[in-house]
Amino acid sequence: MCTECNLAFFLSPLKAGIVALSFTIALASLVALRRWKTASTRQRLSLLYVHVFAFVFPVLFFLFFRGCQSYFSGCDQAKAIATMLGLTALIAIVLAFALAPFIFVKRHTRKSVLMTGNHWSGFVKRHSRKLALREPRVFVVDSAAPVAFSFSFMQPKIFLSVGLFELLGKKEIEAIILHELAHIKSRVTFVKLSAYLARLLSPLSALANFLGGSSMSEEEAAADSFAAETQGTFSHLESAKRKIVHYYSERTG
Amino acid sequence: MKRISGNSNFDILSPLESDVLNELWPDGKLRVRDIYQKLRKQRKVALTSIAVILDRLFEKGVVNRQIETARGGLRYVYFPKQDKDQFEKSVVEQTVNKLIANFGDAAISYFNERFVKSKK
Repeated sequence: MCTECNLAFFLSPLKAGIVALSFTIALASLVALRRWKTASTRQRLSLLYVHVFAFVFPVLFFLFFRGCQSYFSGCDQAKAIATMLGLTALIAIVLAFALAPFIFVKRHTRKSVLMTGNHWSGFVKRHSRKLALREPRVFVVDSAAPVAFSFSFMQPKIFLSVGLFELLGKKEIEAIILHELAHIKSRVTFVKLSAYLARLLSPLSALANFLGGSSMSEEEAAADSFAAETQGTFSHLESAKRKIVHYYSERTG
Repeated sequence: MKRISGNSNFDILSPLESDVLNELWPDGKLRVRDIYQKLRKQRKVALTSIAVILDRLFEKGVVNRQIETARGGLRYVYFPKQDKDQFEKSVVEQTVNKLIANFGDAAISYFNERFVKSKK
């Protein structure tokens, strides 16, 4: 290991300046991520990607220079910097793709109410036993939009919004819960949530489609079938979906 | 000419928003379904539309809401932030302020003319 060159890297005002600037951006985006309470999911995701990019960049920058600039002296400087930026972007995207669902779920868990000892937690307990699943915790999200999603890492969780309880009937909510249980059973909640979050940022929607395109629609159909088979009819799930679609068309219309 | 900004808290309400508020004011606190039950007697309306309208009014800062535990899960209870008179007064105040800010003397002289006319 070339200790002299490692020292030279940090003693160079340009390189040290780039590293400092990058870490400052990483820190600023992290502070914004924590403090900006009213930010939309899209804005939070953008900040997350900026944070990861700005954090990864100086590390790669240093690693590239570690071999006494052999890489940079051996080829075209501009090409080397472009390669490094591309590699940083790729690593940042993959890292953010993996981190985003955890941050999203953590934020929602903090703002949600845990449901225990009522019909819904009992329903989840009963059906998760039938599916030989670890019992998911049911959270109610403070949102008027009808939303349901699940996440399964260590402890499975199902999130249902207040709006869902406002708009749907008992059987329709049960259909939605069964649908989410099917997702937990097939262990796709992580990729599904990652793909959903990546899709919110238009430049990454192609990546999301690549990772979870047709396989996700098959997964959705399988989850629908499971809910319908358990209830003995498709009608509850269909009417729930109709109401949700109507809500969003009214909301955007 | 300056464009009048359109994202004030008290922009002119849609007919359904007004109907929803008119149901909320006398009762004080109501759930989405309560308002839906009242309004469906007067006009053809869907429960989802009422939910959307109430959420919009909440975002505009016209109504407030709190979560209550009901038999079937959790529900929002909505209540107006101001009574009808206060609300109307603040709409007029904000509209007049906006007009004066955007049109200055022209707006003031127009109000003067209208005031003199209405006195006659």
